[in-house]
Amino acid sequence: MSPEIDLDSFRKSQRLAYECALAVRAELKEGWTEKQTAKLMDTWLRDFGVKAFFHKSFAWFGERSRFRNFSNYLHFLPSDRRLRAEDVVILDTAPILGGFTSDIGYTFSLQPNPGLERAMRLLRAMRAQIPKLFESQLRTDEIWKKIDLDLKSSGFDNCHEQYPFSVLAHQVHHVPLSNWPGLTIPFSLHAYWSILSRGLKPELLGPGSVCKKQGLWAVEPHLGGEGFGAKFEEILVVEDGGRAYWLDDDVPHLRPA
Amino acid sequence: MLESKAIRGLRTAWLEERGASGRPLLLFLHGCPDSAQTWQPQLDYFHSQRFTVLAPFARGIGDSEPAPDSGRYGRDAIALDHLEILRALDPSGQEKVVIVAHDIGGIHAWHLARLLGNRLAALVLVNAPDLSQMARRLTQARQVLKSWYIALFQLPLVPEALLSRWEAQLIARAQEKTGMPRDTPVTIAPFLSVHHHEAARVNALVERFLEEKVR
Repeated sequence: MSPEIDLDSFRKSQRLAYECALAVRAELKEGWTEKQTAKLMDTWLRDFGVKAFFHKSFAWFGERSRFRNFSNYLHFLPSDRRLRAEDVVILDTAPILGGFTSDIGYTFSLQPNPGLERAMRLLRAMRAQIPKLFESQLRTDEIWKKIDLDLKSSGFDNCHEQYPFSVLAHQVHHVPLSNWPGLTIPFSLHAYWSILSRGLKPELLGPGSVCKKQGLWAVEPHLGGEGFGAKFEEILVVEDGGRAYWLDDDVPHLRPA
Repeated sequence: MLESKAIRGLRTAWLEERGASGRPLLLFLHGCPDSAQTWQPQLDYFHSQRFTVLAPFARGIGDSEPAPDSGRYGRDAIALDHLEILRALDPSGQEKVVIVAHDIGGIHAWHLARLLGNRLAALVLVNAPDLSQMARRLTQARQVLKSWYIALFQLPLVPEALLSRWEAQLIARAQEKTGMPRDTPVTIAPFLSVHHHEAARVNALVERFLEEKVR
């Protein structure tokens, strides 16, 4: 990882993304659709100067938050599914602020949900473990398998297995031309350039990927419970010397409820 | 009382009077060419009835700072502004809301109403159909002819040129057709700022008109 990487700017981008999720969560009401919710997130971010996105915002409600019955890419897109009071919600957005990419995932429910609370406890434990896994001798594919084993042995399903390339994490970079919105359907040309220009495989942490650990990773463990899914997503910094740490420890899923 | 705060980086102003707790908030959304002050008689009356009343100045009008790009005038951005103003008055987000809206304020009212969910107590619209209703009406030639000015205001440069050249005559004509008293301050320019990026310049033109013709 280049020592010149501007971590403060990546942190600023990530904090803005989380503020967006929290702002929309504060207004979210029963009856909102996923499409409405995602669109408001995009608008909120654009109002703060975001011109381009790694991917447009996603909102998944209820059973859709664990990708139940998703069989093709289009199913992941925000739908006309309306929010019910008891639903678990995942908001996922990836603004590029001044060229600095972030990608966040935030899970909550409007009502108390013991199943979700158990899932979030496991995710917080994983969050504490993940930097140590990156610092260990484990290869990247072995990290993926360790996380997969841990969440399945805790009684959950692996939902990030359904992401493209089954990624647990993907690298994020500073991208050029961030004032140009480009085409975002829902991943942007900036995203494709960012990943493909570096060879695709080294950028993605999946079950079969063996790549170098150094860099900035958007890590997104996503587990599935009964009728819901839960995830967090934030940037992990892995230095050239092997030290790994989260870009920011002031994230909503760590704050007291 | 005039209140304002920075909402997603832009100063946003509204008129507000606090009433008794436990009563719905009354949110008044003005149209064009109007401002929050258009609702003053209603604000005074309902405040005297102990309601909390508020009337935002639309983006680019009065003390509400114009936006640097057209996206901030879209329905979603305006709805986010209104939600944030409501939250400033009611941090709990629990108070019921009655929306009273006129003209283009009604377009925004429809959109906001959907987002308020069961927090919405009532929606009162004055000459303000939903966009889907308007779209249906625009299939009728008679409505298309009546709504010619909407198409005009979508054009770049032309509305500003017309207003610069014939502003007094246009305002007088609007007053004559609508029955508005001649001494009513009219702010046509901010409406144009909704669709174009000339808010500061056009507002200055209107202020000059008001000084010459009204005050």
